[in-house]
Amino acid sequence: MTDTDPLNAFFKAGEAPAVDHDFRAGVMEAVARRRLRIELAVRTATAALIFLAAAILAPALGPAISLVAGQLSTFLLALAVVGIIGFSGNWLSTHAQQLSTRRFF
Amino acid sequence: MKQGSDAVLVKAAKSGSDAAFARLVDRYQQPVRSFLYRVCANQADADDIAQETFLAAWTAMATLGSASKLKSWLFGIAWRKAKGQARSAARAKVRETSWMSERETQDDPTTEMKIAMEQALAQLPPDQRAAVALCLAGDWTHGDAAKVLDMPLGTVKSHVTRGRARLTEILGVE
Repeated sequence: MTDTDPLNAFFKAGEAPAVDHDFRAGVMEAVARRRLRIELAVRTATAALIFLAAAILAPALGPAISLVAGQLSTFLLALAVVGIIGFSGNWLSTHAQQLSTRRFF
Repeated sequence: MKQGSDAVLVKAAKSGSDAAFARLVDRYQQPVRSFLYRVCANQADADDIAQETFLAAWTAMATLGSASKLKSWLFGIAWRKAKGQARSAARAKVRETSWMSERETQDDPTTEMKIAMEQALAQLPPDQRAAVALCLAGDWTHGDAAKVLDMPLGTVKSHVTRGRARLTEILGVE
């Protein structure tokens, strides 16, 4: 449409504002809410999978733990368990954050 | 001067940069909202749809191929969402129209022109209104508008021609 188009003035009158910080803030707030929902969903699913895996593997892990406990002192056993939990938690937490950027929803 | 090209901002946004995505919102909110103002004929609904458009864009940013297609991609999302709300927008238009007839007349010429255009656009069919909004009010070519609106090129040209004629008739301009 050229500037000489008589409709030009009418269309210009109905334009949205060139700068609107409130609108941008509303969009970014919605983005933050969606990101939070994604992270919560991923962490919930991760926790459920860990619980399920532990429940399934418990019968098999029991004898293995007993065998290891027989050869290690209680202190070393506790250290090994804490280390495994800490490493797993850190790995899962890091990957959960990365999954939240995948924007599945 | 543009601070950061679209390609740079899109790449950063895809990597998770909120600042880059906010910059894209700033850059495209006016054309997207202006388009939706003309298509929806209800400014409140148009702004809601505009926000949903950018939210959908953030969610699906990874699917955007080339940054050069960003504008048409955004408008395509906006048009599909506007069509999806067409029925509820039509019901709201009835309420809005009745309210508009009761409100005091504004002396501001710009406001009068804005109202006149809103009422004129409301008389066009939705597809024709969208074609007019892109090709007459915006700087879109018929071909690009056809891609955004998912219409044949000939249909877009027809809509623009008939839409222009109808608007000039309603508004009383030549």
